[in-house]
Amino acid sequence: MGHLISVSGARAESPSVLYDRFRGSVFQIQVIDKGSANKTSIGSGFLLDGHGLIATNYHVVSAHIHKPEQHHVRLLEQRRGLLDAELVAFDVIHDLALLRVSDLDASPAFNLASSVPEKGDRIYALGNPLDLAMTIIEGIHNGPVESARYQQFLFSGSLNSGMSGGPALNPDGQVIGINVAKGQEQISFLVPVHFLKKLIGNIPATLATADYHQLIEADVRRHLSEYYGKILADAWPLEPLSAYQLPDSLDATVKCWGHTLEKGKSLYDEIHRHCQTQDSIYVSQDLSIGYFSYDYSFLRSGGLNSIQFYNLLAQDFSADGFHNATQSQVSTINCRDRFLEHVFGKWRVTSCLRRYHHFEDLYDSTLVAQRIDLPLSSLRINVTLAGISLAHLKQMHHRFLEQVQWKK
Amino acid sequence: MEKMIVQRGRFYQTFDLTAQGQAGVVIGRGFHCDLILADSFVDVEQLRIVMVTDQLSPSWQVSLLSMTNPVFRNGVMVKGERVELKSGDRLTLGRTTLQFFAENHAIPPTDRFVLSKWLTHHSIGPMRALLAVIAIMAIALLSQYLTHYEQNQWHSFISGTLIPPGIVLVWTCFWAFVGRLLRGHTLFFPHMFFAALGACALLMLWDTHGYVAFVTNSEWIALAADTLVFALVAGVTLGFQLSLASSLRHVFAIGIFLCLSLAVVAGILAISNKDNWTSRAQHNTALKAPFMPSPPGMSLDAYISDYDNLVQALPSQAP
Repeated sequence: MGHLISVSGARAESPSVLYDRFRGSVFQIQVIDKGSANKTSIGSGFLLDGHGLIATNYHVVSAHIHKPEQHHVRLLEQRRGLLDAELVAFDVIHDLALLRVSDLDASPAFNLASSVPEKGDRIYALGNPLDLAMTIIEGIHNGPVESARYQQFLFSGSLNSGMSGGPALNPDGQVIGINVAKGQEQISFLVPVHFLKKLIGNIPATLATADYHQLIEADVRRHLSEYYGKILADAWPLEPLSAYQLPDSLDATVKCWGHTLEKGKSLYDEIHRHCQTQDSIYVSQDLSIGYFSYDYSFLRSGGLNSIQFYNLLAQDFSADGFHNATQSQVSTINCRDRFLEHVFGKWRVTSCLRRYHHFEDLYDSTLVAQRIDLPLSSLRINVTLAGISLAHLKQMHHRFLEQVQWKK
Repeated sequence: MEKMIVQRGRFYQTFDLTAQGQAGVVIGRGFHCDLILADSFVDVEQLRIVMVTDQLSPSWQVSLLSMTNPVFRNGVMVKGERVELKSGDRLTLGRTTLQFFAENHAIPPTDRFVLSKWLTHHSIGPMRALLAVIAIMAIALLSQYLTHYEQNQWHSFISGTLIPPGIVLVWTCFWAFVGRLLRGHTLFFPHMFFAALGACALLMLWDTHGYVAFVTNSEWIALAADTLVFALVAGVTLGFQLSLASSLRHVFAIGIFLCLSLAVVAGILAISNKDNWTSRAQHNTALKAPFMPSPPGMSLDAYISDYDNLVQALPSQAP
């Protein structure tokens, strides 16, 4: 592979040159627990200007954002040790944060790239994985992730925890993205640099710790409202599942999978389709908002009599579990069970809701609807929406139940 | 000839009563009495029984010779000088019971239910016990059949059918052993019969939960109904077994009380161990009541607009 690097152009710099040039401008960010005076989380950050402005990830400093009275943010400078850093701006949706270290004496600052690299371009990520050492890794830029809920670049390289918040550079040494997450082997994600530019352009004059939660709430609610608003505004594509026509993938962020259990040994047919979002919004270590999934299960008796078939249905009739959150974040769950008369057929429907205590008009919900008027076949619909306003929730549930079509 | 049954604990003896003129029959602890009771709660001369012949038909009367210890007639304390004895009356003095039967004692027609004779333990032999066990197996087989969804599941059919009678067998052995210890009677087949009947009832009432949950739309009420049904069925079964294996009285009350206490303790343990905050929705999982048509449904619009009430009912403050 070595010769490929030399082919990629005279102006491109090798990893060792890049590393030497920027080693003094990438730092480890530590969140220090005031009680134990020790670090509770680490990440990376990089220098943006001559006045000590540092970019990192929101999730690196989220412990400080949620409990500023319990956590300091510090930056580890190689010569001078730990320096106090002050949070000046953050973007919970795109997972970005800006820090200012007033007496930082470091250079050079990184330049932000103005153009997006081509798919297949070689890029480099810097950071401090697992608190081992500042490292540089090489990988391939693979363009935006189509199914991401908020735009991310796919980076075919191995980011590791601790590198979050570090810069990803093109061969010219310009920042094209910020390290954010790893998927599986050689699958990692970057936040595109234009979100960082936007955040730098919107730095508030002052950012009081008291405002942190309101900013998060406003961002999260705006994002969710736009997301579901768009889904509700679109026409929903219907795909057949046996005799039914059911909403398929509603958005690029929702992926669907299906399987059929064939009747070798069992006495009934079972066809599943399952759709879900690939990601949700990281708010804090124990709270992610925005998960959306729905699945269909069609059952048809082959050799079961109607009592056996009824028992089979009754066994599986249950609402999906809610995603984890703590007792201080969400209320207890309230459910409602009813029979529903649809255009065709009769359904048993259960809706369960819980409220977010610290987000106004935001709910988690699950819906399960089972058709019960046919003796030997049935359809079950499960819809889980984690983090949605009541108005959107009603529209989503209404639409899911309304759009089901069936022909004998 | 009139008879007197003298009973102390589980031991009894029958005597003939003969008229002895004015002196009558004197009963007490003293050695000169006509009937000597070795009971330290009975006075030296406790009571006298005389036949009174000055009426149309002769009658027997009791008179108290001592007021130190109370004497009860059919559970009521005897207060007066003389009390007339009727056939079948039961006198309790100290720890001894005397039961009086006139010669012409009329045996009242039975008012117990038809099965009572069928259920008396000396009429229960291996045949009846075996029939009851076969009944459990049939019920277990039926319930396996109604909930089976896969072919070639013969092993689950066989094990599902054999497990209930297996449990009954172990239970029977336990009670036979207890009876042997406490009463000296094993009574294996009567125990097996009652245990099997109880198991049949529990198996058949298994689906009560579904009905109650459906009708009341509440898992909690369904759970309470389950507990009650369990306590009644298991308590009555336990009552029969206690009556066979011990000399306890009020066996059914004891049985039901024990089962109810057990259920309550289990419930308290379950509630105290339960984290009442959960991420799994606890909703009514009954699709509809088994073997019943479903009630009329509501419209989609009405269902969705009801969400406002659902939201209102959510707790708004963090605990």
